[in-house]
Amino acid sequence: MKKEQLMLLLTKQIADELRCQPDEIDRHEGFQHMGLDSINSILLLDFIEKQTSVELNPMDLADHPNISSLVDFIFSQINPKGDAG
Amino acid sequence: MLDKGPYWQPLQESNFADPYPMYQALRENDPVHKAQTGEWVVTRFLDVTEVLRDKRFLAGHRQTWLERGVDHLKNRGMDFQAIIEAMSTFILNMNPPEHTRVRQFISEAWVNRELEATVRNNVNALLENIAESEFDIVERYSTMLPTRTACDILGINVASHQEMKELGSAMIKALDPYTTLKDFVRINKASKDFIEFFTQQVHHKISNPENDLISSLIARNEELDGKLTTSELVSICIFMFVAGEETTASLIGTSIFNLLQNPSQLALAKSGGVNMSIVLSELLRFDSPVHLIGRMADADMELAGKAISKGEIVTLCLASANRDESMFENADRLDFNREQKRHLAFGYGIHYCLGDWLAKLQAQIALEEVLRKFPNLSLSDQKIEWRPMLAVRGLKRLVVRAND
Repeated sequence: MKKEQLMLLLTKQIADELRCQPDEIDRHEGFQHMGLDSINSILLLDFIEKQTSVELNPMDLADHPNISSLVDFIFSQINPKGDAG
Repeated sequence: MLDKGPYWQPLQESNFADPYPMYQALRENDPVHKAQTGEWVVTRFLDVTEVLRDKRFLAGHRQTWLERGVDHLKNRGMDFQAIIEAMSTFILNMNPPEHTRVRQFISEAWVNRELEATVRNNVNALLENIAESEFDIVERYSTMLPTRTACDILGINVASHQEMKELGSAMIKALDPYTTLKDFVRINKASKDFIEFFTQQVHHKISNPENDLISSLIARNEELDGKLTTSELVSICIFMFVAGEETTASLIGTSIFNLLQNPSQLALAKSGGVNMSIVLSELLRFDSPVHLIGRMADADMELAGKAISKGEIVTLCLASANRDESMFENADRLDFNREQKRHLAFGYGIHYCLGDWLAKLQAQIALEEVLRKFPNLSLSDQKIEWRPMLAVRGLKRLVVRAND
């Protein structure tokens, strides 16, 4: 999977969790600011694992708190050696 | 020196193995720390004590969070209702006046406290079965003793103590501050199995009362004005089993580990040169089973200069408080000769552990007897594994040498 592809999937999933449209989601806006809380995160983390096989924990979302940095982090877990992307 | 962190990384692999350097960094740099996940993390002895003493900090936010989670997941077509039912009457999540009423009910029903013979019987049965020169003391001993004792107290015959223990381990995860969907699945499965098992037991004992805690809870309930429902009694049974089993298992395993790591203190304990109750108290202070408990602020308030808003969550690190240098000199040293002071291993205030005496009784006999049977007990070269759990920390695997 390419980063851009995962970015789109996550945007759609988060929009779905927040009951809004994907084009209302800003990739650089903080999750907390968007209104994504620890309850919404449960399914988001599960979705990420199903899509990428990367198992994240709830603290990873807090440490990488927007779509853009989260996707970078997921890719660093898929390919720890490189892919500065 | 102010190291900028991030200080709070409890899910990092190295912190499962040893969270104490992280706690120390927090105590020294930011003792009331706003975690990246939004909650406050409190690590100093006096601050932890202050929160536990203050009635404006309420218990039970985990229960509320789980209820919200279960509702949310229900809207997405997943059913985890069993978790809420299983935990409905866990006193550690309750507040006065309900907490006072149910805690008193349990205390009054728990009449048979002469348990030394029961514990000795279980210790002997477990030790008799160990003939190997190397064995996993967690699997064979430290987790099995409290499981057997809890079953004896409740008066339940189980097909497999191992299975009961595994249900307990799955259930205790519900108290951790961070929960994934996989955790929900596992906790829900354990909840269902526990509910089914204890519902049968309660029904059976209603018509066949015996001299055990479940029968006693049923009888006492009959005398109450506002009777608890069967579902609430079942939840109390689950709580009594899990709370007694998981924490004591952790205490015994961790204590054996710490003794074997500290030969001079082990020798001192074995020589009888120091009273076993002091040994136990220091082992509890040094590495307590319950690491984290949570509270929710019910009003805006201030703690160590930080403004805590109403509704915010406070995570109290009991194990960190017990290593606070300002309370305990050379706090990172296991020292049976240190000055005896109050520690927070069993908590403080209205939620103070109901079974502290039983945990100490079991740990004391367990340690004495295992060291009597294996006077040269030592750590093996095999890898030590900790469970990936935050609220109640304990070993997953500790292979020891019987004679060396």
